[in-house]
Order: sequence, then C-alpha cells, then structure tokens
Amino acid sequence: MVACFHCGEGVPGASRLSTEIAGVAQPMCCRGCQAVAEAIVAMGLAGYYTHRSQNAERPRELVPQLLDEMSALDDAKLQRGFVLATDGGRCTTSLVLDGVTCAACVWLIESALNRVEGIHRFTVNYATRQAQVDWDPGTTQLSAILQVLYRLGFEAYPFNAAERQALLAKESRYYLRRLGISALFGMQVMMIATPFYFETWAEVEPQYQTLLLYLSLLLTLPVLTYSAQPFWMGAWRALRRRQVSMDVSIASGIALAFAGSVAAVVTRTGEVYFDSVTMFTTLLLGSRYIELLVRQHATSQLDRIARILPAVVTRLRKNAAGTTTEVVPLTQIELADRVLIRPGETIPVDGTVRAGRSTVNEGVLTGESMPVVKTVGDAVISGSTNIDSALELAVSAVGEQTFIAHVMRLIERGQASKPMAIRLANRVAAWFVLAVLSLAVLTAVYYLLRGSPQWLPATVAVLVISCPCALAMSTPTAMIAATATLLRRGVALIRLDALESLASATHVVFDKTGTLTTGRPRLVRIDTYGMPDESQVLALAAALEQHSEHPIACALRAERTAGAPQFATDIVNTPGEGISGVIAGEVYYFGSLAYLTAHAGIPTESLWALTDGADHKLAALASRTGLLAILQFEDELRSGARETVATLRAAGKQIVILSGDHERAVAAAAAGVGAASFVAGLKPDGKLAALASLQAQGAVVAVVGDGVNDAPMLAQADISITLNDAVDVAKLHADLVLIGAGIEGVASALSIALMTRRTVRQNLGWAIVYNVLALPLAMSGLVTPAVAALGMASSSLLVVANAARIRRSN
Amino acid sequence: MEIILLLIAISLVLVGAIAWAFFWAVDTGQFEDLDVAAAEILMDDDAVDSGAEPTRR
Repeated sequence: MVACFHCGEGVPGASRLSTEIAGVAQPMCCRGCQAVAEAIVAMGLAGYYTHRSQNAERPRELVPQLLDEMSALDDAKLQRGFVLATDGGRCTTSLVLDGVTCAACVWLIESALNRVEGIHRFTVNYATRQAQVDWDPGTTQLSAILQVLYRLGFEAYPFNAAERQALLAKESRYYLRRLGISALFGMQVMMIATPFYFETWAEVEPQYQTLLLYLSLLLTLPVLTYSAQPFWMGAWRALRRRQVSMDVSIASGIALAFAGSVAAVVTRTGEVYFDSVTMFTTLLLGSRYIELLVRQHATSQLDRIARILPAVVTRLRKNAAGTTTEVVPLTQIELADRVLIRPGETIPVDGTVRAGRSTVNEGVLTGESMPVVKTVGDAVISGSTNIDSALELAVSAVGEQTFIAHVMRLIERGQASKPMAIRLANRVAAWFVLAVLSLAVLTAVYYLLRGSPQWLPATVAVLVISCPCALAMSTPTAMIAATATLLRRGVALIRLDALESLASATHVVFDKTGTLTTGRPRLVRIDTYGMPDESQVLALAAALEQHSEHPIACALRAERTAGAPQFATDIVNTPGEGISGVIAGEVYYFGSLAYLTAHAGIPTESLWALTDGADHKLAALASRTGLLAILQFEDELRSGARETVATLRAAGKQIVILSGDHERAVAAAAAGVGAASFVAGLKPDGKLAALASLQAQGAVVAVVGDGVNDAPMLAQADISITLNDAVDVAKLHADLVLIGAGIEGVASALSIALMTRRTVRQNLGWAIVYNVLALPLAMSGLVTPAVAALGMASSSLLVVANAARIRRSN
Repeated sequence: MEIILLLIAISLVLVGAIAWAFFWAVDTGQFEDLDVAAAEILMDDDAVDSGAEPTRR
C-alpha cells in the first residue's frame, strides 16, 4: 500500500489525493493531510519534508465546533486567567503543543508563525513541547494564531502556568549561573594549588608565593560571595527558626575553611584550603541543579494536564422573529439563560431541563456506570455528558455555585489536611548535622586547649569529610533514576516525594467506575427465546442501535459477529428506555423490560419471571410476535485490574473499593478483582469522609481514581494516582499519572517505589558508615582537608552509582 | 618567573570573558532547549523555496 507522504499512514486504494511538493506530486491519505501539506508548501516551507526525521501526525479535521472553541479564547474575561500583558500593549502566553514529532516541526512552526503579522515572537521548546507566544492584540487574535498552527497540522492549547513557568526558569538560571561561576573560578584556584599537590611549593620564590596565595584568595571571593549564596541564605533561614539544616553545616564548613585560609595567608603560617572551598561549593551546586531539573521535568508533565479547555455553549435567544442560537463563551452565561446541549456534548452548567428528553452520563461525577434519563423538570449537573438527543436547559447555577465548584471546594479542604511525608533523609540529616557540628566544636576546643596549631585543619577536615554530600544526594539521585524509569514504563511522577509515601502505604483505595472497570458496559450473556441463533440477535440489536451513542450500543458494536450486517429503517428512539425499527419488513423493539411492556405489549410479570429482577443492566429484544432474547451487560473490568490487585495484596497492602455506583455493581467488581472490602453509593464528600476515617486510624492511603467525584479524595490521599483518561480535575491533584500504562502501572510504580526506598536507605547507610569511619580519622588530625574533600567526593560518587542501578531494573 | 605576571593577567582577562559569555548564554536561554539547536543548523532559510518571498524575523 502507498504511504501518505505527510503522515506515513496507508493511503486508501480509492484515494486520488496528492500534493505537489518540490515539483513532485506526492500521495496524500486524506483531505486533512492534503490541506496541511498544501499550507506548508504555500508558505514556502517545503524544506520541512527534507529535514524531518519523523512523520507528521495525522491532523484532525477543523470542525466548526473547534473554531467556536478557539474564538472563545479571545474572550477578555477568559484571557485574564492565562494571558499576561507586557510592555507596549503586547500580550504573552504559553501554549501546549500537540503533534510535534521532531526538531523539524519546531523549525516549521517557528518559521511560519514568526512571519504572521502581529506576532512579535514565537518560540518553541522541543523538550517540553511548549511554546511561548508574544503578540500584539491590536493586529491579531489568539484564535487566529491557533488557526495558523492548526493549518500546519499542530494543535495548541493555552495553559495557566505562565507565572510558575517564569518562576522555574528564574530558579534554574539562578543555580546555573552560580554553578558556572563556581566551576570556572574553582578551576583557576585549583590550578594555582597544583604546586601544593605535588609538594613543589617550597621551590616557588617567596614573593611569588605571596602573589599566588593572594590571587587564590581573590579568585575564591566570587565563589564565596556569589556562588555559595544559596547556602548562606539557607543556613540563615534555618538558624532564624532555631533549627539546623544541611545548609548550616555546609555554610560553617565553607566559612571556617575560608576564614582559616585567609588567616594563613595574612600571617604566612599554616595551610590554605581555597581549593577545598571551591570544589565543595561546585559539587554541592551541581547536585542541587540536577535536583531542580528533575523537579522542572515533573512540572512540565503537569502543565500538559492543566491545559485550558475553552468552554463554549450554545445560547438560545427568543425574540419576536423566533428562536436564534449563538455560540458564546461560558463566562458570558448568566442565570436563567436558555442553553442548547447537543448529543455528545459535555454539559458546562448546572441547570434544569426545559425541553427535550435524553439520557445523560453522570459517571465521572457520581461514579454511576449507566446513563440516567433526564426529561423536562429534571436537574442536570455540569460535567456530565449528554448522549441521545438535544436538551434545552435553563441555567440554574454558574461559576462558583455549580456542582463542579462545590467539588473544587472539597478538594481544597482535602488538600489542606493532606499529610506531608517527611523525608527520611531530612530527618536523619538534621540529627547528623547537629552531631557533626558538635564534633567539630569538640575537636577545635580539644586542640586549642592543648595549644596545638592543628586545630584549624582538623576542624575543617571534620566539617568537609563529613560533608553531607552523600547524605544530601542519596535521595535526589535515587529520585532522578526512579523518575526516568517510571516514565519509561508510562508512569509520570508529578510530586517527587510521592514515591516514599507509596512505598510505605498500608492501604490502596480504588474507585470502581472508570478505574477498576472501563466504565463501559460489556455484553456478558444472551438468553434466547424462540430465536435459535445468538449472532442473529446481535445483528438485529446492532442494526437498531447503529446510530446511537448509548453505552449499550457501543458494547454491541464491540461484539461484531461474522453474520451479514442488517439494516434498520424507521428507527424511533425513546431516550433512556429503548429503540424500535423495521428490519427486513419486520418491526423490532430493543430496550428495557418496561419499554417492551409499554411498546411491544409483553406482560411485565412474564418478563420479570425470566430474570432475577436486576433490571439495571438488562436489555431485551422483541418482535410483534413476542420476546426474542434478553441480553445482560456488565461494567467490564480493565485488563490487568485483577493482576494489579493481586500484586498489591501480595505486597501486603489492604485493598478497599470506594464507589458511587450501586451496591450490586460494586460487589461484582470487588469479587472480580479479589478485593475484600468495599463501600458503595458514596458521594464525593462520603468518599472523603471514608478516606479520612481510614487515615485517622493511622493508615497511609494510596488512592487510585479517575472521576470528578474522586478528586477530593485524591487531594486528601497520602498518595494519589490517576489514569490517563481521567478527567482533568482528577489529574490536577494526582501525584502519579499513568500516562502510557494501564492500571498495571500502579503495581510497577509500587515496585519502583520499594526499590527507590531500598536504594535511599542503602545510600544513607553508606553515608553513615563512611562518616563513622572517617570522622575519628579527621578528628585525630591524620587527614588533611584536601584528602577529606577527596573522600567526600568518592563517597558521593558511590551514592550516585548505587542510584543508577534503579534504571537498570526491569 | 616574571612571565607568570603576564600569564596571570591573561588568565584573569580570559576568566572575565568566559564569565561574561556564560552569563550571556544563560540569560538568552541557550541552555533551555538542547535538542533543537543541533538540528537547526541543517534547516536554515536556504531550505525555503526560492519562489517564496524572502522574509526575515
């Protein structure tokens, strides 16, 4: 098969689409690819095709609804959330880009966008797949910019992180500058110190000795005053709170070594340790910078999730000429406005149905796996999805009053009471620092009392050899390795210290609908009555439901059988009840038991006698002559759910299911995955309360959830995990997102968490053993500060090497 | 040994120049995206079709 020149997918045999690129007509698989390729050529950027190393992604069609959503982003009220005004009346915002597959895409985007009139500057970061745009709102609009990107085959969304982004960039520049200076000047100082290392110092003439000593003092000053700033400030902050931190020990080591060296230079007695000061600072800054990079990477993962989805809604205006519709941004909707919700749309407001009848899926909000019927007078909640037919709503709550906003407030409450994991390393380090500082003082006092000039080198050696480097690096290096390994297995780590909580979790709480189960029903049983062939039943039911978006219809489509497909005409859909139609001249009815009684005239009693009364997940097929079949559906377990629960149980975790669905459905799922305890019928606050009572009993709880109704619980959990298809608000409060992994990701995250904890403990253990051995040597004055620094560096190296083992795990 | 005076002076000037260049690189974001720069050199504006009007940022 011919491959599409743009996206690389197969070109359907019938397609005759092509685009002329660099004089050659190239095959295109679809109108979307053709349009994008033509746009690229028209802009004179065909060079993209020569230089790309990956095929482009197949573009989505630019449907009117997308255009509406884009233009909604121009709304000034909405823009306040994510657009910053800059000097000269320009605006700037950050965009998340979809479809960037290789570096050539970056070139393509930047070349094309920077020549759009009104765009002052458009830059793309390939590593984070984010763009920064600076434009003149008087000349162009944000929606126009997004449309240009769209024409080139890229989707972009603004996200609300401009400030945090700027803050992170500032922090990383802060450390990078200091690291660079410290390394640069450190090299100079070490070069001058070379004669010391090779015992040739005595051969240097005295006047040059003085010159070199003062020069190294001078070169150490920038390191001391500029590069070591974060340590001075950290130490000062800790001391002001009457605490000791690693910064206190680092700062006193640096200060003492420098002060002693200055004294040695001035009095021309004793040794200088300028090289130790600069090396020490450089190594420490390096480990801080690496830790910062890991944190930044985690944050950019979060930004992909926090994208702003433009909310638009169709408003109905009744006037003398009749009813008109207009698409407006959600922010312009007021109480009592009438809005139209089409099938398939997410309902953006709380409201009451004024016209129409449809089924609505409230699964992500309530955990109920089957859609509920909504008709005139019923209340609908924002965030649910309309399925069958159009609904006209009167808006009863907007903004802060909506159900979603209520859940958001619950989330805040959950977050406020979130237990903070105290890092083992930090706890150990505080004691360690205190011990080292006392030992240093003890050493100094001992030598001074004996009137020995050894007091300075011995004290500095104590402070340097015990440098909490290994201690400080034990956790970050293990974290970096764990984050990379997790990402490779499709798990994004958002909050870094979450791994430690996961390793020590006692309970794992699962949501049911959408987490343990797919949230979609699956056909489990067919009972036939007077119809011999199951595949015939399926063909008839599928024909009736062929245009429906109801979950049952989707389940039937998944059951494609070998038989010839049937076609139905004169389809009549009664939302929430059933559907009828004519197939091969015969009328068929398919729907709930009550529907068959009402429409096909089958007595209720005879139907109920055939079932055990669980009407919830049943659908029946009948013709004029009578009942043909009863189909039973079940919320399907996710593949791997059972194995994941088994693995977690084997690791000694208690499994609890907290769900908003009906008792019967939850019990079935609990039995299916092998979980011992479950609670059904819980609202979001009920879930939060159940979780809080577990935590009150001393449990460390990991929560796995996906819906809006899980979000408060996720915010309160010791560690929260969501699936990739979870709603945004759930992802926002997740510590771990299973981006590429299924539910099995929970098990692999746990195994890596355990390994990370083991590695951190090994590293801490090593750091302690090393110090117990090295400290007495330093105190006895047997170790010079230079050897101490070497010992410290090799000890740190061992810690890094140990952490790297996590990457090799499988 | 007098040569050392000259060498020190040269090294101090070099250190100053390198520090300045490094700060410039950090401030203009040279360290923020290390992946594109490698490919960018291959795709300068020469790749633009000659028919298209020459445009510059």
